[in-house]
Amino acid sequence: MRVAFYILTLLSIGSCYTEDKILDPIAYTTVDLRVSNDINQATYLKLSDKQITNDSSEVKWHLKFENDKDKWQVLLNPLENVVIYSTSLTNFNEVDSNYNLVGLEWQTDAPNQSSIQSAIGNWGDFAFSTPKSFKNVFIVRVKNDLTAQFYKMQLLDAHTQGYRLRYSTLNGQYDHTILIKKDDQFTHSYLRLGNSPSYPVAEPKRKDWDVCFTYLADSISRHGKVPHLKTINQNFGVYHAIIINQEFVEIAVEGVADWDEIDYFYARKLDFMTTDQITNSFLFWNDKLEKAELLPNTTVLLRVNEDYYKIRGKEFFGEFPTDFTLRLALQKL
Amino acid sequence: MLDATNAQNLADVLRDVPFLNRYITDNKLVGYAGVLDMQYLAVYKNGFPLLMDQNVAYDVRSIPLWDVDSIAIYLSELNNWGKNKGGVSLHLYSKGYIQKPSQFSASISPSSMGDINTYLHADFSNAKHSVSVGTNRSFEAQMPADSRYTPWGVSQRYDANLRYKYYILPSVTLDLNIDNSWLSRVIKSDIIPRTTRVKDIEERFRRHHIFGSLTTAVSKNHNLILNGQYHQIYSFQQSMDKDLSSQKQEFGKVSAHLDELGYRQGWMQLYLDGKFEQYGYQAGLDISATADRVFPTINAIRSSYSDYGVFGLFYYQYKDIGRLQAGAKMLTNSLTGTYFLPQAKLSLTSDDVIKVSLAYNRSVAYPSFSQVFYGIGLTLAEQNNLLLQPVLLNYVHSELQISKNAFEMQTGLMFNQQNNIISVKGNAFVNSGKSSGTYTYFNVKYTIKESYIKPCLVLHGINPYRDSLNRVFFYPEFNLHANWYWTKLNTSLLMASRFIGKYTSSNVTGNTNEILETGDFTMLDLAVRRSFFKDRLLTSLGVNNVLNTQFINQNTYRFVQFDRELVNQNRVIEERGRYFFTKLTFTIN
Repeated sequence: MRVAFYILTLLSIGSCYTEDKILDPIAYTTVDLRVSNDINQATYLKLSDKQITNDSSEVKWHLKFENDKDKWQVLLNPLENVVIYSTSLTNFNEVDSNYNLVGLEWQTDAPNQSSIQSAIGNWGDFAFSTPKSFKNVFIVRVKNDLTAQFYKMQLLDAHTQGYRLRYSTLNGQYDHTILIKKDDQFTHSYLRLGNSPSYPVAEPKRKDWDVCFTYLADSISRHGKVPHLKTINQNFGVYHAIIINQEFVEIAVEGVADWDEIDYFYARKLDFMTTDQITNSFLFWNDKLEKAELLPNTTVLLRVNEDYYKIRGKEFFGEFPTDFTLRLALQKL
Repeated sequence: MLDATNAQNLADVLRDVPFLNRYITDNKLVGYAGVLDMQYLAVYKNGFPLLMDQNVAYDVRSIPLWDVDSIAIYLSELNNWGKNKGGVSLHLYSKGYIQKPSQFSASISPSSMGDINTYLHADFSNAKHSVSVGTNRSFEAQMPADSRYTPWGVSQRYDANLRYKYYILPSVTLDLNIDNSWLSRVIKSDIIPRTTRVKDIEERFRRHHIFGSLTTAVSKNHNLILNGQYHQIYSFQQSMDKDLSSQKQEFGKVSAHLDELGYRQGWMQLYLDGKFEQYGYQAGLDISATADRVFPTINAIRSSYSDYGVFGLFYYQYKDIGRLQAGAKMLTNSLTGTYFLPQAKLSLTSDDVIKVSLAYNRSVAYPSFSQVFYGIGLTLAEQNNLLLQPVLLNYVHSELQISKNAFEMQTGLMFNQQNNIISVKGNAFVNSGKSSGTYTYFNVKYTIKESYIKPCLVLHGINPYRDSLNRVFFYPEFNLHANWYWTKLNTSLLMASRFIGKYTSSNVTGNTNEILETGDFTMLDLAVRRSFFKDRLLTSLGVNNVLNTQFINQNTYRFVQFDRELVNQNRVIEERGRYFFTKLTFTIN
């Protein structure tokens, strides 16, 4: 009986939990993202399945409109040299081919610390659920091969269904009043101005991308000698940039820890920020060698819901910044 | 029956006894008896409510059976509690005190599933004092699965129980019970795709239950009885982020605010019990209080309530022919008001062979504590409602019993109704709707010496909550329990089996009119038991779930006019699978 007592006591305190098998670490994978100022103006990446979607549509967009329920921003495509001038007039017919275009200060979108600032800006009173337009007439200058094409444009109103917009050539030859639909499935809706308007689908559905490698116009003074594409505004150039799908993705840039040091436990202690863009964190311009090189110790961490990912530049080839491919190491943490 | 099924906790009992059943979905237990869910089933241990009010986050898997000697199911039981009596009562009874100076016992019960249950028990007794003390460890292995995810997680429970009886004077007795349980469960998750990481969940549950009574004889026919109990529960959950490659591990939250819950409940009852030749009565009062330990105040409102009750229960016995029992309780709840809860039962007997009875009872079941007190800031889902009324439970029960020699038979019909059922409207809890059900049963027991066979057929009728078409869904239940005792070999062959048909219940979580349909299943448990050395060594060997019943389909339907539309398909778990078990119990004096 005493023996039984000891056996039972031992079994009472003994553990029966089974330990997990130790797994081999998973190696990172790579993705190649190609962007160019001409054919492939944007490349979208979905982190969870490494799905890459290129904006290789033949019809390039001029204006893009936010589709979020409470967002009303209108942005310009810098690669199509789209710039804008606000006339401060509200009578659409007052702006015509006699309007003096000489010496106008053309505006382009540009990022600040946290978001892209639209050149069109607040075109109405957004305190209403259906914004009240100020009805300002804008002149839009777009690239048209070697020459420029000018349009006058007036945002008439907007509601949950979309934006109502009027545009025409300055001489009034083509005059269109159109509805840009707010499509819930996409982050933006796109418009190309022309004799007749066209609506290219330039991005995947909002759930199908996390980050977008593309170009943004920015102040030249912020970037120093980094090569850029020119705009009509001498203070602004077009630079390679990363747009974040801030509906789902938060971001942190880590410049201290080694790649192998960064795991899930490290990542979740970092402060992640919500932003709609970051400048390229994978490349820097070597002034002496006059060439772009990979940043050696910078890792970009992305938080998508409760998942964490780390990405870092591994290689790049091609012509920077006009047409190049960036090979990224990507790993889910 | 317990020996045949290797039942180790109250959840196992629900799977084995007539009228009741349970299943596991996402590691949560859902118990029911026809239309009645767990909140409307009264559960007692040694006559005291085991789950007081049943409106706080109990885990019935924390209630052990190693010190329980017998289990009984009562239909239309009359008592002075007045709560959670939807018509079915479950009683657990501890082993009686020994009639000798001391006794020690030790038991071990391993199973092929990986379970192991061990306990040590000591009893002491003399003319004045009787003490029973024991400790137990139950390890329940996880359900075998193809992936790492465990729909039925591994758990471990430690118990330490004490029972004490003090015969202070020949006419004064103190009876004290202290039950403590510590339960922990680990729910393993699948490996997160494209990582070596897992996010497991650890749940811990702690339960301390002290209850007892002081009985004084105040005259030849009267006893004055003071009952009291204190119940404290605490549950905690945390996530365990673990990297299976680097072996790093960190703990985190599972929910925003409700990872930690805790409640304390106190109850005291004083009553006079009079017994005379032909009649008797009980009259007294009770008081109870329930409070939240983790969130004592929410939005400057104290999250607690108290009850005050005055009750009387009278019986009159007319010769051997008839017995009338009737009584009522006036229950006042500090939040919702006063309730009159009558109960009555008339029994007529003929020659001790035929007995006919008719009973009525009304009781209350309180809404869950979280529905009353936890605001949207805590739950991030529904808004609480301090004005929620209790669910009112009514039943009428008629029964015919025939007992003749070795033969016993009961047949009857019970109709029960639940009013003021809690549902969600908008995003707030409200009292609305009702449900009702019937039990039509036929139960037989045939005994030959120490052997018996007990078939029990129950037809459940369910009119689910919010069914505006008043449809009644039926499902059959058949139980067969048998014990064949072979005198020459001092061996018993035990069998417990049941079939439960397709079960329909209402889905009260959303605003839409939905029903859940849980598939049928058959369960069979077999065991052999033999004692050696004049019962000093008791051995059992058995097979649990011979038919290897595991998953049952559960479909969710939405009513569309007179038809229904499949909304969701799910699988719930009835049992982990087939396994063998042995049990060895040593006893020395």
